[in-house]
Amino acid sequence: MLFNSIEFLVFLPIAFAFYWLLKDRLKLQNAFVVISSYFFYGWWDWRFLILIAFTSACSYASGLLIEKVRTKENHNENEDIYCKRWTRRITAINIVINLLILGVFKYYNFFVESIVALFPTLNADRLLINIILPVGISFYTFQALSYSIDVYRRKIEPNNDIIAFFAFVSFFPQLVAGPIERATNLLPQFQQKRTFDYATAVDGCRQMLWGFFKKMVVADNCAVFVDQVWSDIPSFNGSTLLVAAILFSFQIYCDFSGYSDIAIGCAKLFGIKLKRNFNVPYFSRDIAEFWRRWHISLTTWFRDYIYIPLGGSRVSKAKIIRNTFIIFLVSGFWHGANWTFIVWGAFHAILFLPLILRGKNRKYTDIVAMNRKMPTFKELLQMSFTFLLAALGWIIFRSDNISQTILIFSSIFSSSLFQVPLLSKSFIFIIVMLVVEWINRDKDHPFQITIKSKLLRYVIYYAIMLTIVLFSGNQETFIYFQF
Amino acid sequence: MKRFIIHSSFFFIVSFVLALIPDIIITNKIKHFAYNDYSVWDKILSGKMDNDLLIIGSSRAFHHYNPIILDSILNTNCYNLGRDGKNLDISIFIYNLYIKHNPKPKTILCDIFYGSMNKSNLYAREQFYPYLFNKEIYNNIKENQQLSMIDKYVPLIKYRGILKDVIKHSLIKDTTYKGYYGCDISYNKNNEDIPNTIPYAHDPTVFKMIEKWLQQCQEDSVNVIFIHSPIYIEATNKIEDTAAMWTMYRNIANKYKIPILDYTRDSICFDTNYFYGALHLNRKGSELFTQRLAYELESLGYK
Repeated sequence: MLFNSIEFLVFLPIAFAFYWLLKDRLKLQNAFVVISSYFFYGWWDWRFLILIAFTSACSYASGLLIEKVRTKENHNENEDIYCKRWTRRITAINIVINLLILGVFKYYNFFVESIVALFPTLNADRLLINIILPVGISFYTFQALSYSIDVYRRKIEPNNDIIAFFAFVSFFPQLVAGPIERATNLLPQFQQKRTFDYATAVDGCRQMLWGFFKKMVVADNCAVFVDQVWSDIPSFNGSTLLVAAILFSFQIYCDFSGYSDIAIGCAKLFGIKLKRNFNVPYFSRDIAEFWRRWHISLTTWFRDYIYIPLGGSRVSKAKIIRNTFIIFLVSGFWHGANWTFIVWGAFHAILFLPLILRGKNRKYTDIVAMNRKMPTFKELLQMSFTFLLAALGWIIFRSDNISQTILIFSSIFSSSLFQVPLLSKSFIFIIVMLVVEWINRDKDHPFQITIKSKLLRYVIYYAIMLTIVLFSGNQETFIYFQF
Repeated sequence: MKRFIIHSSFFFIVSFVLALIPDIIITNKIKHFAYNDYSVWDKILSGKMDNDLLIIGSSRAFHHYNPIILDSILNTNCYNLGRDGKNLDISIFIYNLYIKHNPKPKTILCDIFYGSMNKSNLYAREQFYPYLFNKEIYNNIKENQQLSMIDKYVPLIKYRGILKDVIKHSLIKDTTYKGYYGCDISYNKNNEDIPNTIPYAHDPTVFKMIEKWLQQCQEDSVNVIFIHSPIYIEATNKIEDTAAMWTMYRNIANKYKIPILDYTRDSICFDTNYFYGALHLNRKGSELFTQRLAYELESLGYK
């Protein structure tokens, strides 16, 4: 079910009403979360519910098994080693099972195609499988894995409430495109009674409205121009291709952060607080800051479960380089089974390396132009340059294959860059979006309005709703659903 | 909770009403747009039309067949049902709606060209908006015109992305006569964007629809004539595989014993004075073409 569909418009109030009717019966309320979330997901394809249930069951069982091993009294060192060995084995088995499912559904054909490209004598048709990529598989798999690893690391106690655990993995607002939640944040919320808070719910509605604006107005209008250019690249000059890259940068941001805003806002209606996923990334002053503000839930997942276990930045320079490349390549590969995503990851690793090697990757941890209305000229230049780098990266990300990327780059870095480009009306919406996000850049979300006048607030809400109704584009799916 | 439900319900009711009022006003206005004779839908549904000769087809039919000339030469009562941006799938639908509410015509002039058997595009789909709650119209066009429940039940949302077109169409003055609109524009290459090659293709579902319709016309004793009205010669030369196109039309014409009148090599096709774009005649061209057609029809005995 898509957030921007009439089905969701019907589903949400019904789910909301039943959920709060069950507020005094925690188990039933959680069971309702599971049922409604499975219904939400099953609306797309009910067959893949088995996968979510299986993933949830595996991680839940791993937690129970680890608890069982640990509760055995360990009297001596040998038993302690035995305990550690078995908890590691259980966690590893769970990781392997989950990654195997992910690998089969998401990467199997990619590996086959790549191997066949190396060994043309192999018959690709016999090896390839006709398989549908289950929506959101990377998101819920990573969420379930985080629980298992956190239990192993003793960051969280194993959970004995299967319904709460299934609700944690399948909670519908963030099921198909995140934010990827940690068990440490979300699971305890399902284990305690939720109370309805008027201010939080209103704020959730506001955040949802902003998410819909970003998705349906900005992203979907940018998509029209971007798709047109990408469908016939040789017909456009370098300057128009650069404009398309800039528009795609805003398309992907507004598509994905719009989804996150809707998800987080929607969760607030149910008394659940999800993690922030985007924090005005295009106001970053360098690429390291960009990565602290872009898809935060995934970036921190890789940081905590891959980068830090590898030694992070507290190792030799050679290992820092290795770790940085690993983290960015894996991040790229997470997005999809295509060499373009891997190259995109490598591109960002190359941009990130000079900062980390010089120890300047944490130079900008505050909000840009804090306590000031406008940025300084230097800050403006830094933000523009970082955005431009990110936009060039998005060209790789958006391309169907590497040769298409090369074609676009060769056209952009040619004399045709100085020709008059085609423009899009989407820039008007982008400017509105950027102004609002700039004003509220220090808030919890970009549409946390603090205007005192009720009338003015409502005028703004209605203006945004009217803009959504009249100027939304036609594209309906969210880009990140494919990941 | 109670406060939230009251406030949010109030907010949504006010939003709905605020959107519904302009929606009703705009949608009702559309019914009377002069552009492409949008009022024809009401005329058909009213059951007060009674025409011996009907013209169906796309914008080429709408701009090319002048009923004044046909009426005067053939001494008949003709109506032009040509629809801008629509192909024979919608033409057949409009014809079926016509005969459901009005007496059957004697003859149908069916304008054909390389794109007739493709699915209609979404251009000018606002003409259907006043009839989204009319089952016989909505159920037949919803798929073809990609209309959803959202368009039907959420006020104003159906106008997303087409407001500019709707405003443009609302400004066109009423110069249509019995469904015909003569364009008083001189030829300019830029008036119509013609690609270097024009692909010929036909959609199998539209093809089946036409066959079914021709069978029905035979059973109803309604004469159908396929007419390929003039197209500027430069555009004709760009059509890929014209032979295949003609084979397809001739096969279907032979099967249902339908005459085909081909004006693609008429002298009109070689003179830009008769066109406003490569695919459409201007008023001067359409009047000359309709006159020639009327005499040809007269000679063939369609009087």
